[in-house]
Amino acid sequence: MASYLLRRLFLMVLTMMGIIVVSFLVMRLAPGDPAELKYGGAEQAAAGINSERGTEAAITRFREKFKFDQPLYIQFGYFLKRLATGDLIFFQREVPIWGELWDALKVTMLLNLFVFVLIYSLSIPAGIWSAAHPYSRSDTVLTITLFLLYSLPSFWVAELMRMAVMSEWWTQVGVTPPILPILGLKSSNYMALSPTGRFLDYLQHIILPVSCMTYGGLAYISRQMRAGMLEVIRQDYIRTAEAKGCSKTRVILVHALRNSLFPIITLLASLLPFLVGGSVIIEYIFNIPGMGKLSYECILRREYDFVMATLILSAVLTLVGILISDVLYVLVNPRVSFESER
Amino acid sequence: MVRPVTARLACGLLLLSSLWGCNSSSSSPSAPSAETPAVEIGASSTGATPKAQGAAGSTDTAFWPDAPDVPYVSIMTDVDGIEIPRIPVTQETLQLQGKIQADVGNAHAQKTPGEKATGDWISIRFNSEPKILNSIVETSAVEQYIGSYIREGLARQDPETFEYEPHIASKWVAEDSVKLSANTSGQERRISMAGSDSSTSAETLEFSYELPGDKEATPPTVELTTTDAAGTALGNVWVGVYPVGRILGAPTTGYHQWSNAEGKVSLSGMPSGKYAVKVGAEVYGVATEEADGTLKVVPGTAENPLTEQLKDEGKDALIIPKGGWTDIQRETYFTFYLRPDVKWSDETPYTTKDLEFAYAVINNGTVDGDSLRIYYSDLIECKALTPHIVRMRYRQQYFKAFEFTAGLSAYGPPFHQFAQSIKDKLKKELTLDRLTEAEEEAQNKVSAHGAAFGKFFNTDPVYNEEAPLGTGPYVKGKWDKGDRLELNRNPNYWNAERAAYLDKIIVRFIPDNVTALQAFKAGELDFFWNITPEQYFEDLKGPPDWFQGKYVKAAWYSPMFNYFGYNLLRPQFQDRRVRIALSLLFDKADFLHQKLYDAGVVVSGSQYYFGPGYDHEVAPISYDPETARDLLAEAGWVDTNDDGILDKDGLKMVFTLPMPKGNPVAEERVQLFQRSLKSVGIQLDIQFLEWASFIDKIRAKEFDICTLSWATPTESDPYQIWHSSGAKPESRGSNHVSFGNPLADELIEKLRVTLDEKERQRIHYSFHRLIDQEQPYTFLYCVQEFGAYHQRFRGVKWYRLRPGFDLTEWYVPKEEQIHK
Repeated sequence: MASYLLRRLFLMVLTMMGIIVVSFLVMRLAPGDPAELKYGGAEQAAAGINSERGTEAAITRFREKFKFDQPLYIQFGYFLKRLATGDLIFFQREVPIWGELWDALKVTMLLNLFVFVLIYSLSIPAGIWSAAHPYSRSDTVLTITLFLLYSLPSFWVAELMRMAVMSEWWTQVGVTPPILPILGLKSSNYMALSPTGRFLDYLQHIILPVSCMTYGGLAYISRQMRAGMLEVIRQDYIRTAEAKGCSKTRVILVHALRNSLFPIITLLASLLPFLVGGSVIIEYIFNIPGMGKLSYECILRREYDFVMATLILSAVLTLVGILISDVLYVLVNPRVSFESER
Repeated sequence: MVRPVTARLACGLLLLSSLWGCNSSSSSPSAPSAETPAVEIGASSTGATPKAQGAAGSTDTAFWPDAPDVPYVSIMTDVDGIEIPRIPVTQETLQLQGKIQADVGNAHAQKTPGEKATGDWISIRFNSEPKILNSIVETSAVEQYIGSYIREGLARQDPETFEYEPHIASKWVAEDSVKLSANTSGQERRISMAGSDSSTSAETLEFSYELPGDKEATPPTVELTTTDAAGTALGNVWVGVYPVGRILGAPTTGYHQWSNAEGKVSLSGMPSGKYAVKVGAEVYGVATEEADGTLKVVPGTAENPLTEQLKDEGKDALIIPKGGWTDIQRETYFTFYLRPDVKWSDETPYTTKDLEFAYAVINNGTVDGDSLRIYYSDLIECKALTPHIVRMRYRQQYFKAFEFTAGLSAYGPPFHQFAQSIKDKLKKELTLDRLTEAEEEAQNKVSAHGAAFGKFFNTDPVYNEEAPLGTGPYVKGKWDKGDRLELNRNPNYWNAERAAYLDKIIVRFIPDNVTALQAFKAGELDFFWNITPEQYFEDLKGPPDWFQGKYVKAAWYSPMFNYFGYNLLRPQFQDRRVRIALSLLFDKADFLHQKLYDAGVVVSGSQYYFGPGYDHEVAPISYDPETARDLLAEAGWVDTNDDGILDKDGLKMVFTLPMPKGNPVAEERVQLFQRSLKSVGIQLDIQFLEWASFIDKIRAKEFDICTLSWATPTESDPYQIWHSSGAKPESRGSNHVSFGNPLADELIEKLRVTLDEKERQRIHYSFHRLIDQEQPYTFLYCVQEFGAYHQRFRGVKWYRLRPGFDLTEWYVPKEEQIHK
């Protein structure tokens, strides 16, 4: 197993290098650079005789300072150096990216934690139900519903939800809309609230964004769960359990569930990158200061280091996630071994 | 929200991709403001009749009768006998100057007037977030809007009268700089070219300057030395460099330099041509030319060295005989007298040392403030005479010089805060002395002029993000990045007369317009600003009752205009008949009516429609495809090969227009133009780009036609957009259409040095007519800005200055306050 892991890690490093090179190229071949944006569309106004030249000089100096005037491969070298030393910065401000990266990461991870817990706690029972009553009317209805949800674009649903909570109809039942906050993660009086109050405030704020990010994930996991469960209940030992007179509920929840969860567990690892990625659209719509919104803004601002850092972060997590899935798969399934993969 | 009140840098124009929802990466600088009085529109302009008819761009010597030095340009009526149809002048009137009513449209406020009271909060929406709150380093408009509540100018511009009134400075005096002739006895000055020996020094010299053809090459430098009559080097002497004859791109009023302490001056980068150099001693005071041709100079301040000198001599004025002076630059010496009670928000007194510090920081080459340094490149001295008296010197006469000098404090960081930070973090002492790195090391000091300070200033989190001190009515509170920034009322504010009422301003950063509208409807915002016309007229037309009952809508004008710009480097656009034809092909009035709900005015020039520089006799060119066809045919553009596209000498009328995605009004405008051009045989391809790529194309002049808008001050200096110095293909400045015209240059340069408002207006008029004849842009319209706010706010006024409101004046009567 050790040699297998070593081999995988070696391949991961190679893949990583490839990803870094490609991302760097994609990012850098887009027109514009931080200097152009910093001194912006029109920040050069004419106070002095040489004003226009002054801004051009500023841009030139900025480019020299951060080596944007050098050929791409040299810039890449400088980037690798900054990456190795952890000295990645926002160019336009010359400050390290880490503080803001961490702040945004916290926001997104916490939000996604809720989403993951919700997805799993809803789709596992749903999958089990479907598998317990395969091809029944309830299975069909559930399946169709979940696929319908899966195919609804989240920005549209977000908009509908916003309209729903703000609907005038609420006044007829004596509630003043909006019944839920639709913007950000904090109320304006957040500072004045008690710790419990702050937590409740947070919960209220995340209801809409978390719902939008959850419903689409239900279909996939529940189908996986259903398939896993169906496979397991065809096994001999299940038939044995049934023959010995166990109730159907007991067979499924006690005997079959453990084994049928394996694919779901391995799937969890591959979801790692989504934990830090954040949803650009949802964060933008609900104005949540998370990774999705920040990354998007940094792309527009051509903050190369930040964008590269987030790309590398998700790439690493993806690779690690795949590795963990593979390892877990072997660990939970004795019929597969590292050796036989060779 | 730049409070329209504070004198901040106003000269800059900002380029907007769209009037609404400029994306966050494109935030632009500068809060333009105005300074001159208004014209009442609608009333007929003064019917000045010209002495002679001037032709387009010709050097015909006609002048305005009431401004005999200003070349007169007549209004274009026809081109080669083809009459140019125009839209009849509208009766739209707007008094730029004068009292503005509060709470207009707020029925609730009219019904239940309330007492002014402190308390309550306001939450306001911004569509982008500043990266930091250091107004020297950060140049975004949002930073300036927020910063204007924290920092203040020396003078305050009244948003109703446009007059400057005392603020941090209780008074000021402007004096003129007089350069004496090189032979003034006792004060002889000479100039010599480097390389030649000092005996060759002369009163004046001429040299030819040649810029290298290769634009990458370093331009050559001309080294000069200033000396006394004996040929000994003399430092700090004025050197004027004037073009001999007309040199395109070089100002006729000359370049003004001062030699360094060793008497050295280096000149470089001027347009190629022949220049004359003059030299002389300098005195300043209030200068008046007497009838007999002598010049009388009276010192305007007790601090003027001339005062002392005259007292010793027992005279009250310096009389300079005719021919005894070489050059006069009016109103270039400013002496400001600060109020002694002005305090930073931590109660430290504000002194002239802070101004000296501001000046040092802005001019520190390692401070990351190049765009601001450019604004201030002509402020050549800022010297504290006492803790409350400061003298600033401007390089040359400029109609916006006062605005710049008075605005210095609005950017200035607090000296004591930095002295403390540097002491805490670097264990060194901050000084305003110029020290070399070795001296800094030896004396354990940090010079505000040095690189060590620059690095500290650019990245210091205390001033940049955590606690930027100011003298203003608000202090920075909590800042949740990506979400909101709070401004708290400054409890120690020094100026009781201008103290704010609202306890807190909560700025919410919401880039998306739809999200912002929803947040507003959900009651998360008290004041929704930057509403698109469609949202204003459609979405907020029939809102639910709980909205209509509590909120007030408002629309107001800010100086700006939209345009189509033509890249004059393209051969197809060389002929002005083509450009005029294109202007005839867009139905501005109809578009304004159909798509912008008539919330704007059609314009014909680059000055603010309601400002002093707009010539209302120039009616906008109207929509007339027939005339356009005639003009194109006249210019030789016909479809010779029956492919449906006009051509001439193998060149086709096929153009590309790059534009950023995301502004529906702009997109519709371009599509309409595209259809209209197609009808006469011109193909227009629209290329959608993201902002960074788009602006790169514009600046690199890689476009045929562009459509943008300029946000301007009420009276703008046309130099930035129209002077030929930016017309070169490689210049990446604001003259992205590469417009260059000798008469335009002459008018622009004259305008900059003209201090008389009436005369300046005539120059503006001539320039307006010239730009109308040349049509480098198709000028479209100036549209209104829209907002909606909660009815509990009183004292709400919509000003004619950007951004149009001053939250320090807003208040909520005690009984209606929501937040405690």
